[in-house]
Amino acid sequence: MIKYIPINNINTKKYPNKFMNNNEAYKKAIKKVIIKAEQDIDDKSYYLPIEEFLQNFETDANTKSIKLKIAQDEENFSKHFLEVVISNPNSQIDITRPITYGNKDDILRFLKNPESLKLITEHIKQMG
Amino acid sequence: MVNIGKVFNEGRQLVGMIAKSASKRGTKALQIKHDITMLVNPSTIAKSNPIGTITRESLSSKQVQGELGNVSVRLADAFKTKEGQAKTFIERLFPEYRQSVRTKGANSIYSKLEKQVSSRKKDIKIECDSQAKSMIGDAVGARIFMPSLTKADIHEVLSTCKLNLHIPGQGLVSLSEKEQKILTKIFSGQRVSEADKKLVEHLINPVKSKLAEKQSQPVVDRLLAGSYQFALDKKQISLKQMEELVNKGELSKEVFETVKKNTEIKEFLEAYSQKEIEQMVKSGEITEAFAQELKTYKPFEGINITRFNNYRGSDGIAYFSDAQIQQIKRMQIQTGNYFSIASVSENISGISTQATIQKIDRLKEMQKQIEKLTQQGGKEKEVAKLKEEFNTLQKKYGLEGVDINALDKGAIKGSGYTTTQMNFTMADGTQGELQLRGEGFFAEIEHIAYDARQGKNTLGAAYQEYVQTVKGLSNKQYEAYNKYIKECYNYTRNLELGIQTPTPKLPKGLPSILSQKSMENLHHLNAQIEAAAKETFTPHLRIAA
Repeated sequence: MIKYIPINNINTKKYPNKFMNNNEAYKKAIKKVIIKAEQDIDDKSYYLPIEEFLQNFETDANTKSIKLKIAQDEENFSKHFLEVVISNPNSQIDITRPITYGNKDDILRFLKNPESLKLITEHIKQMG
Repeated sequence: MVNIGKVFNEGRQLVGMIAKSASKRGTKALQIKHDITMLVNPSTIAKSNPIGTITRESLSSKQVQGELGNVSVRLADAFKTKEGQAKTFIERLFPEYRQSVRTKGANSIYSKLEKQVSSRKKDIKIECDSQAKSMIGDAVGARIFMPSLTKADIHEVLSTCKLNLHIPGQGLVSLSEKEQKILTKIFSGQRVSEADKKLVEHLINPVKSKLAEKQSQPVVDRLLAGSYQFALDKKQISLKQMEELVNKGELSKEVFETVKKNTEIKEFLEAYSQKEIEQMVKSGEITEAFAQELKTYKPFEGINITRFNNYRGSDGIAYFSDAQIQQIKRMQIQTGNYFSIASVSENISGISTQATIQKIDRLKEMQKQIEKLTQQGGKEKEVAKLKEEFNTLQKKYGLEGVDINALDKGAIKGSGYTTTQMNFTMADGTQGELQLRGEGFFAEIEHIAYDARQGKNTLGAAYQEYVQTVKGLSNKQYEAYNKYIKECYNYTRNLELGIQTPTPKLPKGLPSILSQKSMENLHHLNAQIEAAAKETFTPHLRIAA
């Protein structure tokens, strides 16, 4: 039996740090998330999680990607989580940190607030 | 030879005993367990920090290894003094669970520090004990064992659960009576017709997830209560705010009531002595019942979670469901105490190693086809269609945004490993690791196959024939054995959820020593050998070779 990832040894430091100053990449991703969120978030029934990867500039870091994700509350469909996720597609393990929680309007208001970018990048830094 | 075992076992500081050893000069070998030795420098062990800096390069010197040994022994002694407090901490937070709590021993600390310093990926140096301490995230190791579910639990879940089948546009669904009957039969190991099986097969994993919730929700509630208590003590949230969250449906009433009761009793016990409480009963200020509760209730301290892992193998059922993980995420947002959560979503379908490799091969094939057609020219419509198919598949496989050509197929492994564990700190800053497990025994021994294949030197004498057998398997045989191990793991997990399934069969052609039963027997035999060795062994110093 091979234990795939001793999770405490995942080196997530390298990838987020390379993106610390890449505000343009973040702004682009947030814009795309807003469009998807306006179309897809449903306060009454299930919808597939909304995800947007940050553009992958590093060819040697393709197994670790950062994405913004909106996921519906499993038990209360009218509420949603906005999260930062570092994902390793090889192992299907996601490392997640929630940023905010609320209904559709709350999530959109947060995303459209220019101050939120700072909070998102701070979370990504801390995940490293 | 200096015998320091007796005084060590009596709980006195190992540091002091080594420092007093007859000959202080030079590096000595500390035989800390019957099969484990580490180097120490008795003449400097009583210092507060290592002499010199411990680096990857300097570790080649025995003297520096001795300093690392000193750091490890000092930390082990310091951690040992916290053991009683840690036991109380865990007992009070999880009063109804079988548990084990122990602090990290010197040899284990040495291994961890040595591994980190020796790593070529980082440039780590140890200059002081406090730095080394921060590198050990699990001074305290604790385990909670959750009881298995019964038939009555399964019946309750089937009749009351509301499932999120993750179908866009759909709400939560309950099970029909027919579906409940069929699932009851399947879970009790009875045969059902193919037609009935087909009717419910899409419900099995979602229902198993609900069973997992039934098993773990009391633990989730205690964990949340401990986290909110921590936030309350730090004034990051108030009871009033928590009550408002309950009214909004964003916090469970049970968790709130637990924290409220804990806080009120704690504050009462801190404010009044036993004598004053007795006076209050006499004067009617408080009831006899409340006074009795003050005597018997054991308040718990807040827990500060710093990292959370919720693993499951492919086709496995994690101990915490997605919904329960979200309860923890809500707590983070509400209290401002953020930490990362590593998990595999229930939404990711069980994908075997082979299936994942096939998916990547398929995507690579499509990519080659797109490149070929583009080069040929004049096939724009075909190329556009292929690209669209490619993007859809890539998203479906969860590989959106990933460079397919750079994916290392060799890194994709199947694994049955299922555990929920977290790093935490106590109020005094002591760091620990808490692991949640079921009562299933296989989790204790599943690492044996992995360690044997990796050639790790962690397995005792009783395992030697097993190790040789595993090492001698061809890649194909090992793949088949790995699949069997995963089936054993899932079988054990099913039993924890009250589900009866046939015992997995060892693949044909594999020696019987590799079976689950055999692994259990070897584990028990090894434990007997270790226990006997421990009885006659005492830690001692000798001259290093």
